[in-house]
Amino acid sequence: MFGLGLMVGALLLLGVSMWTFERSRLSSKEIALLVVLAAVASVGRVVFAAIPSVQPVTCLVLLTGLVFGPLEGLLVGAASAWLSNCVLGQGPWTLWQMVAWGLAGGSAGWVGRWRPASGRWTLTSLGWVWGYLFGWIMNLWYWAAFVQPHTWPSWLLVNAGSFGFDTAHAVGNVVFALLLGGDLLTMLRRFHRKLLATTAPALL
Amino acid sequence: MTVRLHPLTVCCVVGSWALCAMCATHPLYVGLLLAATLVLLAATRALAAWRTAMAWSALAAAGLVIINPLVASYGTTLLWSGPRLPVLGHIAVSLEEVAFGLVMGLKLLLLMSLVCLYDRLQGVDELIAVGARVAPKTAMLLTLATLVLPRFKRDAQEIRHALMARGARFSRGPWLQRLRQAAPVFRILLLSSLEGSWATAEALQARGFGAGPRTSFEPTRWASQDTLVAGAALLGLALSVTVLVSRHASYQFYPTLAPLLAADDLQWWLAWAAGVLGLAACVWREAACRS
Repeated sequence: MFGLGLMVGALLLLGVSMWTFERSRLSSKEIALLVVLAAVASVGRVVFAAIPSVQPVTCLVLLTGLVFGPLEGLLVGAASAWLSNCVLGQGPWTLWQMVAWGLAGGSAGWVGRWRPASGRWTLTSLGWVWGYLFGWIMNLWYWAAFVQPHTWPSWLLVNAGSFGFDTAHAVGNVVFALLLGGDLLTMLRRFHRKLLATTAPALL
Repeated sequence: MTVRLHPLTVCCVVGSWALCAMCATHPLYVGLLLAATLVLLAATRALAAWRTAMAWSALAAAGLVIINPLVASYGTTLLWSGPRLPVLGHIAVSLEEVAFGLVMGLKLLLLMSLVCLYDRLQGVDELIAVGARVAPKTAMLLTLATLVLPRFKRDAQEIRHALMARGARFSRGPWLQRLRQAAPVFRILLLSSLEGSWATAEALQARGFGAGPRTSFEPTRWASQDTLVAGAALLGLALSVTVLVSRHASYQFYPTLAPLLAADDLQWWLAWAAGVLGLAACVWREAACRS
């Protein structure tokens, strides 16, 4: 029942995010930009699928959150998980990947609001932290639904099994952030400024 | 072969089975649901895709058979007494704990199989079309992203080829060097795609995005057969909930394994098995008719 409760919670989180997006007043430009970011993140995941747990999608989702905000980060994270699984294969993990990447984007969005001038090092730190958090969120349902008793030793044992993959994910995020973070931040900030630009009144 | 059932019917069938699978712990209950799911996977000719998905799932299920006996200490039929480990304490593996791990592994395989079945019974487009009625913006975002995904994959390949022509080697050298060589692919792809997104935005506006209430088109209509299958699914769910609430779907693993089938439970099991088989037959018939 614990596993079922978690699943309902995850669905509620995604439902509320979707509802917020539906009620938002995002322009066609913003939506097109989100589409592109989600699709590029998915392509990145598919391209790097051969290297287990090394996923540029986390880096791009964090960048989206940092530059555009929490809702945009959450949407791109959730959409990327679903889209890339259309190619790699859907499973019960899709829901949890949507939640984990969505929360990664959302948290980066809050960090971006708190410190608007966040740069490559903030991205690197977030990438390292989310490398592990992502794995723990993925393990949470597995532990809650299929492992008994729910104690700290059992939780640690489940996470010990994925420690190597989580570390590879975190190291991959750090490498992507250091290699690409600076350039991509500049690029996305430029597009964000273009997005916010309004048409000047006509000169008579 | 594509099976065309209404998306809501598919949600009723797979959702009700997944809900039952999540709540049950009885080996027979889980085993019967898995058998019925496999029959439907075979009927929809999805066993090849299922086998591929099971390669990873079997590992995760095997993990449950190992983890559960290591962390639990409730069983009485001792199979192996191991050393004392930090954090975990004294390791003692009992028959009951292994049985619990096996049933949990079976449950995980059942859920994976249900997702395979869902994937087979319903395409992405139908799901988005139904979702568009409730969440049009989300549906539009996903549709557009699904449309551009193949183009971006092709673009990524072309960028790779162009860089290789200029001397980049993606498959040689240590891991970090390869990643460094591959990084420009990602940068160029993102830049060119972002520039292209303005064209998508203009196309959206040209089609009246945000101008007012939108029209919708539903590619799959609700048919009388859908009523039959969805009705059977809901009936099966009601029966399953009755079995779950009356605790006939629960199984006592600890301290010793209970008998699999008690005499006074027989009528419950027969009614429930009839419900599951009836539903499976309905879906099979529809799958065969509409394929």
